[in-house]
Amino acid sequence: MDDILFRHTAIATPNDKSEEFLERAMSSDSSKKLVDDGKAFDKLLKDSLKVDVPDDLADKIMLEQSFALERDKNISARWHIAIAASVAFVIGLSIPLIQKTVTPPVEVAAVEQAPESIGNVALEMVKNEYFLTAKANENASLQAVNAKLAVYGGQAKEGLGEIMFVNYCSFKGTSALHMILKGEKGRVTVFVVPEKGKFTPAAEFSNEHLKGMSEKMGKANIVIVGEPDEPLEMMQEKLHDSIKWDI
Amino acid sequence: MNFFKSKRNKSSASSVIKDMNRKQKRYESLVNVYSADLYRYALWVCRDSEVAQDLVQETCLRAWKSIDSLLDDKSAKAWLFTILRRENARRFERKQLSLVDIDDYEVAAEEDTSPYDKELIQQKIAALPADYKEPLLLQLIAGFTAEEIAVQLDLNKNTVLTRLFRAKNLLKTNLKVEINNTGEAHG
Repeated sequence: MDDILFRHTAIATPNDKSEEFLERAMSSDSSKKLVDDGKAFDKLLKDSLKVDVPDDLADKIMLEQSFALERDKNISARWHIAIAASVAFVIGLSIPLIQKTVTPPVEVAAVEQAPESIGNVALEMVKNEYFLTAKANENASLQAVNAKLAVYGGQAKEGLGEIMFVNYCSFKGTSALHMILKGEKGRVTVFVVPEKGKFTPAAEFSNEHLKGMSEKMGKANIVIVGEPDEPLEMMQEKLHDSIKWDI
Repeated sequence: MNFFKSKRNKSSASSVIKDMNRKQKRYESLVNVYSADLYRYALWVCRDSEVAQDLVQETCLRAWKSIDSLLDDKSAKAWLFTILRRENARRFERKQLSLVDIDDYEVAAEEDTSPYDKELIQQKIAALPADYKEPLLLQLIAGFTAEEIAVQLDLNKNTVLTRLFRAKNLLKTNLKVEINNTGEAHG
C-alpha cells in the first residue's frame, strides 16, 4: 500500500480491517498516529451525529404496524364481498349475452346501435378486468410497450414510470392497447383506442368507484381511468411528455 | 378450489399462527435494534424531526410487509437503509421542494467556539454537499463499511473512499480542528 493510499484510507476509513492497511499502520509510530487521529476524528463526528431519538419511537412504530394489520384484515374482508359481487355481475352480464346468441341472426342489422360513450366502455372494461389485473405486475419494459404501441403509431420514451401491465385488448370489439401504469396514489389504466373504433367522445366521466378522462392524441383516443383520488391530469401530462405520436 | 384451500388451511392453522408469531418477533427485534439509527440518519438527511419519524414509520411498515423476503438477518440493516433512502427519495418526488435551505447551515466559523462544540460540528456536517454527506452518514451513523456504502449508493468503492476522505477533510478545514488535540481529547 503506497503512502497516498494509506493516508487517504487512514482518514476515510480508519477502521479498515484489511491486512495491508493494518500492517502499514503498525509499521511506524507516525503511521499509527495517523490512524489514531483518523479514528479520533471519526469518533468526534460520530458523537456529534448522535442526536436524541424520541423515547416512544419504537412503540409508535409497533402501533402503526398494528393499525396496518387491522387495515389489511378489513381489506381482505372486503375482497370476499368483491368476489361475490363480481360473480353476480358476470352472471348478470352473461344472461343477455346468451339470449343474444340464441336469437336468430336476422336481427344483426338492428344490433348496429348508436355508438357508445368511450368513457362508459372504459369504465366497464376496468371493472371487468379488475380481478385479472389488480394484482398483476409484469414490470413491463419500455421495449415491450413500444412493440405494442407502434401498432397505434406511438412511441414512448423513458418517463412513463412503472409499467405493470401492457397488452392488447378488445375494447368493445375494437382492438385497443391496455396498459396499467403506476400513478400517484394507485394504479392507473390507460387505453389506446384507435380512431376507427366508433365511440362518442367523453372528456371526463366517472362512476361511484372510478373516474376517467379521454383525449385524442395522434390517431388514437387515449382513455385514462383511475380511482377517485388519483390525479389523472398528472398521468395525462406524463403521457404527453413521454409518448410521441405519428401524425 | 377455494373451499379445498380453506380446509387445508384449517388443519395447519396452528403452524400459521406460529409463523405469524415468529414473524412478529422478528419484526419487533428489527425495530428495536435499528429504529434509532434509522431515525438519526433520516433526521440528518431531512433535518426535521417530524418528517424523520414519518420516514422511519413508513420504512418499518414497508419492511413489515415484505419481511418474508428478508432471508438473512445479517443483511437486515442494509435492507432497511435501502428502504429508508428510497422512501426519502419518494418524498422529494412528491413535493419538489427541499425542506431546508442549505444556506441556513452555512454558518461562518465563529472565532471563539471551541473545536469540540457539538453544535458547530453539526452545522458543518449539515452544510456538506449531499454527495459527501450521504456516505459520511452511512459510515458514521449506520456503521457501514466502504463496500456496503458502495452497494447502497450504487457507486464503486473507490468513489466512496474518495468522498469519505473529502467529506472529512472538508469538515476538518471548516472546523479548523487541530487533529492532534482531538486525539488527546477524545482518543
